[in-house]
This record gives sequence, C-alpha cells and structure tokens, in this order.
Amino acid sequence: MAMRVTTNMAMNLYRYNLGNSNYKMNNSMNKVSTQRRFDSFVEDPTSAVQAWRIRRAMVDNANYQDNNKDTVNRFNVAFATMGMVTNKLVDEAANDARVRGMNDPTAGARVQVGQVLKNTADSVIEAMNGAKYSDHFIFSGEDEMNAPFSWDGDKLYYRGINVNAGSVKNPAERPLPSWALDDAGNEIATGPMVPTGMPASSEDADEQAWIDYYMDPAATQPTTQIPSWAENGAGTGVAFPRDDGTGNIANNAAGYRRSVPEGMPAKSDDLYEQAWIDYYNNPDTAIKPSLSPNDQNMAWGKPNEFGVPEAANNVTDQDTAYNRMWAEYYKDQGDVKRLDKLADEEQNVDLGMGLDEKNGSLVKGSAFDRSLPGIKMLGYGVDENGDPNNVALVMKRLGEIWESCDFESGDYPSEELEAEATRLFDKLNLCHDDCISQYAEITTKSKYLEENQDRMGLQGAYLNEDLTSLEDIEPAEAISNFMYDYYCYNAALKVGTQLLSQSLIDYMN
Amino acid sequence: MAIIGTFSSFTTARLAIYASQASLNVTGNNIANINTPGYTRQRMDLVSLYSTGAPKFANLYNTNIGYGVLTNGATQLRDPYLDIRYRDENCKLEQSSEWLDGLTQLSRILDEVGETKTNDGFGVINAQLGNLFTALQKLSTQVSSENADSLVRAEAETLTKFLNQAAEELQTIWNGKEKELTDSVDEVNKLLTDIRDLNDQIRTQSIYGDKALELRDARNLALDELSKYMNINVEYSMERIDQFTEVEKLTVTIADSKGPDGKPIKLVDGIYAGQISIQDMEPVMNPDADAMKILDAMKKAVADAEKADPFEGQKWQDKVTALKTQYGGEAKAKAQQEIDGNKAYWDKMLDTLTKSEEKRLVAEAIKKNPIDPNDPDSQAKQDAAVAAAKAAAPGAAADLVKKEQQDIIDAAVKAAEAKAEREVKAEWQEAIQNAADNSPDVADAIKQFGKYMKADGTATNELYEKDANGVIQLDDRGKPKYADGLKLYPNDKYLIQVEPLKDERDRLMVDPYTASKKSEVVELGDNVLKGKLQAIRELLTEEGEYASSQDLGKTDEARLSDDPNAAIKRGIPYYQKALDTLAQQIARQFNEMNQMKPQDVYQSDKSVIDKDGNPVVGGDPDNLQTGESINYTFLSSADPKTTVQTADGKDVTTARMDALQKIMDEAKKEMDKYTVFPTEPDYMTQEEIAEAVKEQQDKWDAANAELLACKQAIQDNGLKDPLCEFYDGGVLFSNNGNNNDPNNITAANISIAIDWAEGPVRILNTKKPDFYDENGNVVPASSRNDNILHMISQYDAKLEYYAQDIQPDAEQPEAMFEGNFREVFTSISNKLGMDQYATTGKVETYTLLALDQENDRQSVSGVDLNEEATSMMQFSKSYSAACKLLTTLDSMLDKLINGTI
Repeated sequence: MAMRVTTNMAMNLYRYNLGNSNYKMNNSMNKVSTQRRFDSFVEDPTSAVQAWRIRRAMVDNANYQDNNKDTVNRFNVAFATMGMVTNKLVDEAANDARVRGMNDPTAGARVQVGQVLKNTADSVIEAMNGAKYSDHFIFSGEDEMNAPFSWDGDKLYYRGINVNAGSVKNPAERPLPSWALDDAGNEIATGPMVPTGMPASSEDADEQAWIDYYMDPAATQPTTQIPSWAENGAGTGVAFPRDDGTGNIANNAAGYRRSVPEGMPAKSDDLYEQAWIDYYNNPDTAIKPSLSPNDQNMAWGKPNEFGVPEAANNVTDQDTAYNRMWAEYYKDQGDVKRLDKLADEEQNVDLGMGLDEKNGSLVKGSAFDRSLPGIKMLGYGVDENGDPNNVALVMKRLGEIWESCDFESGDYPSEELEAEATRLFDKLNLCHDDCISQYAEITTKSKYLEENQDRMGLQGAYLNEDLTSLEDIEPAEAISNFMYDYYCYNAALKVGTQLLSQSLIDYMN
Repeated sequence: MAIIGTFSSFTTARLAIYASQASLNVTGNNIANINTPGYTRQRMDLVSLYSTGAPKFANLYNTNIGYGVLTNGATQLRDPYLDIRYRDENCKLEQSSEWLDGLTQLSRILDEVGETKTNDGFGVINAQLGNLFTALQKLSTQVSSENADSLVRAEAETLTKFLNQAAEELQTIWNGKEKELTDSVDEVNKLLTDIRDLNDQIRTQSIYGDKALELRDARNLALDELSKYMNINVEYSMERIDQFTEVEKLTVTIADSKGPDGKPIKLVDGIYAGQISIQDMEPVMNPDADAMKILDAMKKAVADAEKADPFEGQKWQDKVTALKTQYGGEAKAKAQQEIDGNKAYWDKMLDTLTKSEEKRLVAEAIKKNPIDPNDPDSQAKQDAAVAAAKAAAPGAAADLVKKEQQDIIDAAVKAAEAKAEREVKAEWQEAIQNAADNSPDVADAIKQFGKYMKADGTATNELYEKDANGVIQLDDRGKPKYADGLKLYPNDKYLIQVEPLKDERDRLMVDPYTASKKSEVVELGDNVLKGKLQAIRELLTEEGEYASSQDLGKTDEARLSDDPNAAIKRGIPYYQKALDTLAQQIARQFNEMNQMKPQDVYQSDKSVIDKDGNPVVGGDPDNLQTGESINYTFLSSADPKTTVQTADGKDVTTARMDALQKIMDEAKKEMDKYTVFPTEPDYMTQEEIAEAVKEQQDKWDAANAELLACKQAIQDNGLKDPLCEFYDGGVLFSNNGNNNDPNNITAANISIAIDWAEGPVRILNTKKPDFYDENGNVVPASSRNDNILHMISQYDAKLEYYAQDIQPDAEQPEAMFEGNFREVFTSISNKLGMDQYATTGKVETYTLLALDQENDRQSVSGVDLNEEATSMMQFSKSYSAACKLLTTLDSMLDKLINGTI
C-alpha cells in the first residue's frame, strides 16, 4: 500500500508551500518596489561586501572632489594674482626701467621712473596680500589667517621675518679698514703702551731713538737726552718705563697711551670698524673682530635650530661693537634659515593620490602640496653682491637710487650708486624671469588640478555605475520574476481552495 | 456447544449493532479530533465471538457458527521510531531557529545593507564614519575655520551616540535572551513535571486496565514540545507492579549524554522527574578523573576486608548459628501454634484422610485377598482383611496428618534459618562495605581520580553536601548546597544542571536494587545539550575570537564550560566586544593623535635612571646604556629652578607617573581575574570575591587619583615649553561625557570628552613646534594641517585589531581584523551576515526535514477525512445490516411461533 496521505499532511505541506510562495512573492515585490537586489548581508554577502567597498570609495571620491575644487579655487586666485604681478606690474616696471631708466638719452626721467618703481613695488606687495580665498590668505604659507607681507619703512617682512635677510656680511670675511693695513697690505700689529705725548715719528734722530725704544721691546734705552714727553715727572731726569709686554703697564696707566695705527679714527658708526678700533685700543681685552665667538671658544651658548647662539639674543646696544656685530650677523643668518624654512613650507591636501605615511611622516607625492609661500613667489634673501633677491625690494631699491638722481640730467649721485643701479636693473630682469617661472608652475599645477577633477569625476561616475549594477535591479528581470512568483502564489491559493473543500465527505448523501 | 439457541441469534444481531455503533463512534471521535494537536487516530478493534474447545460428544450434524462480534477496545496507531526521528529533527530545527532569531535581531543593528530610509543606502554607523572622515577632510583645507572644527566635533559626537545606541540595543538583545533562557528553563521544568504527572496517570489507568489513549497523546505532545528545548531520548519499558501485572514505563534521557554512572542522564523515569536549573557557580573538573580506578580500589578494599573478616569466620558463623537457633525456635513455635490453632481444619483433614485411607486399604485388602470360587474360606479371609484394613485406617491417616504438620514446621524453620543467614550476611556485607569505604586506599583513589577539584588540590566525588542518608542538602535559597572546600567559579557560561529525580510528592527516587534514595545533581557540560536551550546559552556566552584559553579548555584546569570550538562560535558577546574593539580603537587613535606627551609640551630636566627607577650617577641622557632610561622632571612656571610638585609635596616625574600607571594596570589585571574571566582564586564565596575586587579597585582608584593630581599639577604649575605654546590638544574621546578619562572605553560609553565639548580642547592641527623671529616673537602659523593630514591618513590606515585589547586573556594572539575603521565595521557586519547566511540554510534544511518527519508521523497517526468517510459509510452499512438481521430473525420467529400453530 502506498504511503497514507492524510488530510493534515496535505494541509501541512500546503501551508509550508503556500508560505514559501508568499515569501518568494514578497521578496520579488520588495525588489521591484525598492529597486534593490538585496536588502541585507544575508541575502547576498559577497555583493554586500563589494557594495560597501564601492560606497566607501564613493565617499572618499566625493571628499577628494571637494578638496580638489577648494584647491582649484585657491589656485585660480593665485593664478590671477601672479598673472597680474608678473605680466602687468613687474613686466611693465622692467620695461619702463629699461626704456626710461637705463637709457642715458632719457636719463632725465630717472627720478620719475624711480617713483613709479617704488609705487609698483608697493602694488606688488598689496596684490600678494590681497590674494584671498574666503578669509584665507593664499600666499601666506602655513599662516593663512594673516597677510603674508608687511612694510616697516623700507624693510619688507614676510610673516615677521626680514625678507632681505643675508645682507649682513660675515665679519670674518670682510676686508680690514684701510688704516689697519701697512704699506705691504698686511694687518698692522697692535702697538705697545707709550708715553702719552710721544709723536708717531720725529726728524730728530735722538728723539726718534727714544720713539724706537718705546715701540720696540728689543731696543736698548738711548743715552741721549730724554725728550720731554718721555720724562716721568717734571725735571726728575727719569724716563717712563718701557712696556715690555708683560702687562706691567696697565692700559689706563697715567701718562701712557696705546700706540695705534696711523689714521685710525677715534670712533666709527660701522660696527666692524669700531670693533677694530676697540681692538687696537684694547688688544689685551678686546677680541680681534675677524675671529668669531666660536673660534674664540666664547660661551655664547648652544646655537638654536637656526644657528643663532643663545647669547646673541641677549646682546644690547650697550654691548661691545664686537658682540653687537657678531650678534647682528648671526641673527641675520638665522633669518636666512627661517626664510628657507618658510619658503619650503607645505600645505598638503588629500586629493586621492593615496595619502600615506611612513615612520610618522607623510610620503612625498601621496598628497598635493597646495602651499604658495609669498617669498617663494617673489624671492627672498640677497645675492653674492648683497643685492636683494625679492622683486619688490629690487624695484624699491632701484627706485630709491633713481629718485636720488639729478632731476634734470638724471646723473647718479655717485659711481657706486650707478654701479648698484646697473646691477639692480639686471637683477630686476632676473626676478621677472623667476616670477614668470613661478607663474608657470602655478599654471602647471592648476592644470593638474583640473585634470584631477576630471579624473575624480570620471572615477565617481564609474563607481556609481558599479554600485548601480551591483545593488540595483534589472527592472525587466525583477518584474518578470515578480510576475512569475505572483502566478505561483495565486496557483497555490487556488490549490488551497480546492484542497480545503474536497474530500469524500463532500460527496456523501 | 454448537447449537445456537433460538434467541441467541438476536444476541449476534445485537453485538453487530453495538460493534457498528462503537466503530462509528470511534470514526466520529477521529473526525472530531482531526485538528486536535497531538491527536493520534484511533481504531476500534473488533474480534469475532467464537466458542472454542472441542465438544466431547460432537453432533455429527452440527456446524460451528460464531456468536457474533465483540468490541475489544480502541487502540492508537502510532510508530515510536518516527517520534524519535521527528524529535531529533525538531531539536535541530529549534536550535538553528533560535540562533537565526538571535542573529536576525543582531543584524537589525549591525547590518546596514539596504538602509534606504537613511542616507541613501549609506547606512547609519557606516555613513557616520564617512561623515567624520569628510569633516576631517574639510578641516584639513580650512584649518583655522571655527565651523570646520565644530563640524568634526559634531560628527564625532553623532558617531559616539550611534555607537552608544548600537551597544545599548545589543545589550537589550542580550537581556532579552537571558530572560528567554530563564523562561525556557521554567518551560522545560513545567514540561518535565507534566510528563511525570501524565506518566503517573497513565500508570494508574493502566493498572486498572484502561489504555489512556488521550493521556498518551498529551504526553507525546509534551515530549514533542520538550524536544524543542533539548535533545531527548524516549524509551518505553515494562514495569512490574506485582506477580501478574506489568505496566508501561516511560523514561526520558538527554540523548547522547553520559551521566556520572556512565548511563544517559535521566530527566524522567516513570513517575519521577528531575528539574533543570542554572547554578551560581561552576565546579572545576579533575582532568585525571577516572571512575574505574576508584572502582578498582574499592573492589580491592572489599576483597581485603573480606579476607580480613570472612563470612565463614567464627565470629559471623557464631552469629549465624545463634540467629538460626533464635529464628528457628520462633518459627517452629509459631508454626506449631498455627497448627494448633487450626484444629478443625486438621480434624477435617484427619477425617477425610481416614476415609480415603480406609478406601485405599480396603481396596488393597480386597486386591490381596481375592475371592476364589474354589476356596470357600476366601470370603472369610477377605472379610477379615477388610475389617483389619478398616481398623488400621485411622492410624494411617493420623500418621499422614502428623507428617504433613511436621513438613510445615520444617519448612518454616528452614525459611527462618535462611532468613537468619541472610540477615547476618547483609550485616557482614555492610561491615565490609564500611571497612572498604573507610579504606585509606579508596580515599586516596578518590583524592586522585575523583570528579571535582577541591581548593587544596585534591579531588572529590561529592559536589554537594549530603546528609547521612545521602540526600543532598539545600541552602537558604533552596538550591543544592556545595560541599565544603570545592574549587568553584561563577557560572557565567549559564551551565545547566539536572536536579535529583522526584515524584509528585517530592519524594526522591529509590534505587530498586540498593533501595537507597537516589539524590544526584548532574552538571551538564558545555556541549551536552542541543536544541533551543543550547542555542540561547551560546547566544548569551559565545565570544568567538575573544574566547580565552580557559574557554577553549587549553589550561591545566578543566571545567565543564570548556569548549574546544569556542573560538568559532559567535554569540551576542562577540558582537558586543567587536563593537567595543572598534570604539576603543577609534578613541585610542584620535586621543593619541590629538595629544603630545607632557615631556614634549612641558619643559623638563632630564636625568638618567636605571630600570628600577634609581638615578644613575654620571648617566648621560644623550648616550643611554642598556637598561637606562630618561626621567623627565617637570619645571615649575613660577620658578623654573624648582620642579612641579603635587599637593602632597612630591616631585612630579615621568618615572612616578609611569609607576602609577603600572599600579593601575596591575590592579586592573587582578580585578579581571575575579570578574572578566575568573582564573583566581581557589574557592571563594561571593562576599570574598567582592572584597578582593574592592581591594584592587581601591588600589586603582588611589593610583588614578594620584596620577590625575600629577597631570593637574603639570597643567597648573608646569612650565610650558614656549615652542609648544600652540598646544591646545587633549583627549577627544572619553568613557563618559562628564570627564576626560580615556580608559576603558567601550561602544556603550564612548563619548566626546568634556573638554572637547566645552572648548578648551580642540582638534590639534599641528604637532610641529613653533619658531621665533629674531626678536623672540612667534612666527605665526595659523593654518598648519600636518596633524589633521595625519588623522586623515590614520583614518584610512589599515590598523590591526586584537581581541586581547578588549579581552586581555583572549587566546588568539593574531589580529582578528585588519583594516581602516570603516572596513572593520563592515567586517563585523559581514561576519554576522555570513553566520546568518549559514544559519538560514540550516533552518531551511531542518524545516523541511522536520516537515518530512512530521508528515511521516501523520501518515501513520493522522486522521484522513477520506478514510473516515469511508469508515462512516462502512459502519453505517454494517449497522443497517445488523438491524436487518434483527428484523429478519423477528419475522422468522414470528413465522415459527405464530405461523405454525
């Protein structure tokens, strides 16, 4: 006998199958109505993981596009500003200088050209300071909340640092004052202590012998009459003792003075010369200016990261010329390094170049450096001649020189100034070229950003397409699936109504 | 008897009517109960009434005709083997369904696929992780913008809220499942009680001869229901009630289980049933446990005791003799007394025997003295012999009676003596058993091979305290009381135990062989159960990759909860901890990125210390030797020459702060030993554990307070390194919105630190030190974004996530996830999805299998309307036919009686 199929067995199976049909129809209906192929991990774990990966990439892509747009906008401002500075202000100024300033036939216009140049220099700086994107100064490097340049008199500062840093020469490399050189061009040695009234030389042989005696420790004392200036006390017949170099005669001993090179001034405004004067006046205590504190093992403390020794910051106007001179030099050199640092500042933005770090530092090239430090654009520091590298300062200085020329003839006040003006004119052209190359770099970067924007847009579109193909239904397929499941469900219902109503009992009388 | 009486045919007709009616009634009952759950179709057993036995004098013309039909009672149609198969599948189905239910609940929180209502399919937490990333990107391009900074904070706060919410919902699911477990335990206990009560009723009815079909249906229904919760095995056996009666007994055991006696663990045994419960503590098992070795020691001890004190020895034989004499005398006297008390009986017997003897003897005499026609004396001889025989009859009868009486007395004495010997032997056996029980060898064997471990390192077989009768004692809460000295741990794995089997009047089951009460609690190991109970337990406890070596049974200490497969089972705690791991990683990374070490921010003097923290004389901070390290002493802003001090006047140094941190770490580790995964200590009461935890908590609190004081002192009085004046970093995420404490962050408590929320702390845009111009003024750098870039880079960096970060004693040393924050969240969801996927497949398979099995059962036991309709017609016809027979007989008789006269 075949297996009994009881009423409830049939009902159980029917219930199960009806439930299945309903579930399938419901699923198909959900797919049609939500337009999605799956609504949970469990429905399709592999696609779900893939979909999340794409969605993450889409979020990243949107961020990169935003960042890229922001950067493009900044570069647009930078492009416009540098375009104006390079092509209009500097270019016109250089042309003006060449045509009217350097041209002798039109030398009479030098004063006016000088004034124009000075004004143009101001305009260049104003243009750079005025380059803003929203409230961010774009030429300020890492300090976008503050304007990059400021004037203090003729001095130009970039974020508080003298742009013309490097103009203070190394005292160790400077030539000695002319009076400190002998006829052969050698440095004159420091002299001994001599009686205050002793002349530098005498035609009188006896007196000269006494002079030689005081100047040369090896000479023997003359037996001739003691000159009056060598006499120690009135009419005593005793000569001043000679300085034997053992320190018996103090620098400030009464009746003595230090023998100094002939022609040495009493004092000088030039710290370097003053330092030599101090040296010749007090060779025992003063340090030779050409020797740095470091050479002398002086306790100026450890240099900071910019090479400025600790003590250099404590030097005041009351200090010796030597200290002030070296402190000034060190500080100036410190500024050069600061400017180098500021010019190398980076402002990295994540533009989807695979931002990555290695050993805690950003991997070069994995982010976009959007920084446009003003000093890199316009130049900073001085060249080997001590002339500024900054285009605004070159214009300013050239303008000053030409302003000082004769109003009518255009003659230079001095030959030195004329030479300087010639150098600066050449320099102006060089700076102009530098500006052009910086402008070109901005153009290149802008182009890259535009391309990157296109690339990101395209990538976003591909991602969207991938996501759509992964998550979204194929409407025709989904609808036909739904229709099929719907028919199945209806068929199951029909079977149910038959099954429920039919049994032998229905046919019994 | 072959000839049917005239009116007997009416009986035949009547029986036929009864049978048809009864069968129709059964059909009606089947139809009525077609939808009754558990109903088994019934059938009326009809037998033909027929006279058996061959007649001694058969009538040659007689024809044997039956007397009609008898209804022999209704029976059920059921196949117990199909029940077993159905329950087996039902158990698996419920287990996977319960798992699926748990996973589905989890997926509502963690599976964000298709969250189309929010964020255009980007999910909730997923989207928020993306939003925070976007906010950081925005901030990187607008460093000094207040709005961009606030946006990062707002997005981070939203993320913490979402994580809190997810953690809370996960906890709600966990709480729900814990409640479900206790409800299920109650339900199982109710079912066990029901089955026991039904067994009792069926047994009683069976004794009275009733088949109790409906009660059996109810019991089967209860068994089906029970099979949802656990894997059961149902056995039917016969129980002898008395010499003539046997009734069916039902036993329910846990399938594939092994109790302490090596047999399956019983849940129901006839009219006895156990209850299951969840104990507070979990015993430590003896890995060397070996019942056979204890048994061997016991056997040897018994043999030794028998040898030392044999039953055959004088002592016991004297006892036997004495007791035999006593019992024999008593029995003899009693038998004699009974004989004497039944005089009438014996007189009657004497009388009867006298007569029978007389008959026998007379017959014998006649036989011996036959009448010879040729011997004229033969008659006289015979008469004389008959007379003599008659005279001897009373004496012979009296002898017979006497012998009978003596036999009775002898039998009584013999029985009494046997009883005496038995009793003495029992006494001897007890003495031997006692001697064996107290044998040091047995005690040693138990100490070595017993089942449970004691705190002193020895083993024992006794988990619970028992009284002198071996009955387990209960504690104040009515739960079995643990024996003293056991090594126990909190039962955080929800291990289940089966309590002693009791009848409806709470009486313990009696062992039929030893007559002792059986009072054993059976602790069920981690994987003994299957079905819904097991699924809920696993959902509540399984931690997947976070499982400790203890969970995996890889330590020297064996516990019932050990499960070598624990690392691949992921219940709710796994997902809670996974979310905690993510929350902690986010918090840790951001907190570290947004802070500089105090020695980087505050000016300090450096000195060299050795590994013990002692100063090294002549140590060079720039040239450290092996084992040396730098100790930073923070300078005071008031006077840079003095170091920063806390209120108690102690110098604040990094060495001191490191030492405090170490104390806190160690205290935390100690606390974990009691709470997270107890590895310590030996047996302790809850109060002792609480005390020990408090002691460590106090240590932690004290060290933490001191450490905070140090930090505060540095912040208040420390001399800030001018190069780090820009520093406004600090903790971004804390474990509570009211503080800045970055320790013990979980998904449930992760918050925006109060200082970030209120302002003093901001996103640290740079970690580069400031620098000065030649006048000592800081060169402004308002838009440095190196640290934000670092955050962005770290946000997308493939970090490693270790189970041990959250669960220090987790076994798995390798990273469990590797990826960025967003990938890890997807990984968690994906693992859940894969588990759900596999479980859905199982549920579908088991549903079909269970349906098949149910249909197989239905095929045998179910009611079919067609069949019943056929029966209805069949019995209706037979009823009509029987009635027709009656009227036919009536007309026949009418013809016979009225028509023939």
